[in-house]
Amino acid sequence: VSVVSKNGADNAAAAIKARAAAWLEQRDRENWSNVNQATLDDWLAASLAHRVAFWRLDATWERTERLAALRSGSADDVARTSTRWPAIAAFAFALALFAAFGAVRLVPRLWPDEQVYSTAIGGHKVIALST
Amino acid sequence: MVDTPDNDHESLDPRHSSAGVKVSDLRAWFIHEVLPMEAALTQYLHHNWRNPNDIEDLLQDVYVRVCEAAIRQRPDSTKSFIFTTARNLLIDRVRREQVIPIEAVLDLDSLGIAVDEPGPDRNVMAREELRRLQAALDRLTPRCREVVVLRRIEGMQRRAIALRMGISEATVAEHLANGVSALADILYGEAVDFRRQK
Repeated sequence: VSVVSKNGADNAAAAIKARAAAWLEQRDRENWSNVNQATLDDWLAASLAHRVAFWRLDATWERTERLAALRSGSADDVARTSTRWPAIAAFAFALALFAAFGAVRLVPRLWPDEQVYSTAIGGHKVIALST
Repeated sequence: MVDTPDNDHESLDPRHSSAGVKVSDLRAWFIHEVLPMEAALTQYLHHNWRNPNDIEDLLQDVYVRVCEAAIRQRPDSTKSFIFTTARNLLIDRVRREQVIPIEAVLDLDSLGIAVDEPGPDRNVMAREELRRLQAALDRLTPRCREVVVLRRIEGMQRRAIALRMGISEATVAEHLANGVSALADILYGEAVDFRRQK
């Protein structure tokens, strides 16, 4: 397995990340071909650094897909990690979330980012997930 | 998270294909066990390295090192393995570059870094995931966010997006690439906000 070349290039990771993002964007196109895929595979195989950069963005790309499921109302997909989350509740939450999201964007940003979650909209309470 | 591996039949080490780790396995391990540590790892690197411009490269080097090791043998504890790797990398860099780090804080606990994932209440996790995605989207520039939303949430084709927004398809592509890159930095690189709020 080849190691990323450390030739003193300035911020090599940033360049690899940009390349990985460009690959991901191209793969999303309608005219993506087997030839394109083979070229991408070659690039990935050239360095483990290429792979991890691409995996990281690809995982991000896939995460955004959950929002798509939410928008189309197929809440089961959104909550597919959930064992039994009633579809109606999920959909209601989806609507509430979008309403809250819209409201937050309409109001001038008077609070810092970390307080976005703590607004009283919808009466959601912040649940501490860690001790 | 859906795994759509690029070339999952491929073995990473063709010379030892029988013992080789499948790319898809390494990918799944990296995404599910390593990437969730990115915020804590980034914090750790910042605490222990003077030049913030090096952090992105250091992060990449840690990822490459842990994956190289995982090809040979999957570590028992991903968390401690990642931070041991990071520490060793910093020590190597100090030796090579003859620079002195800010301080030799190598003890995770002393940094108060929250690494352990919260308990698996799946409903809460699903909702948190949506909140995080929404919040991350909201951090993109307006045009970039619009492109990402139209493509990923509305499922529109690039040409339609370009027409609707009055921009070229090349610009649409640029926004998509920049968008996914920025989202990755927010979703993986930053500590979850409700932790900071406490």
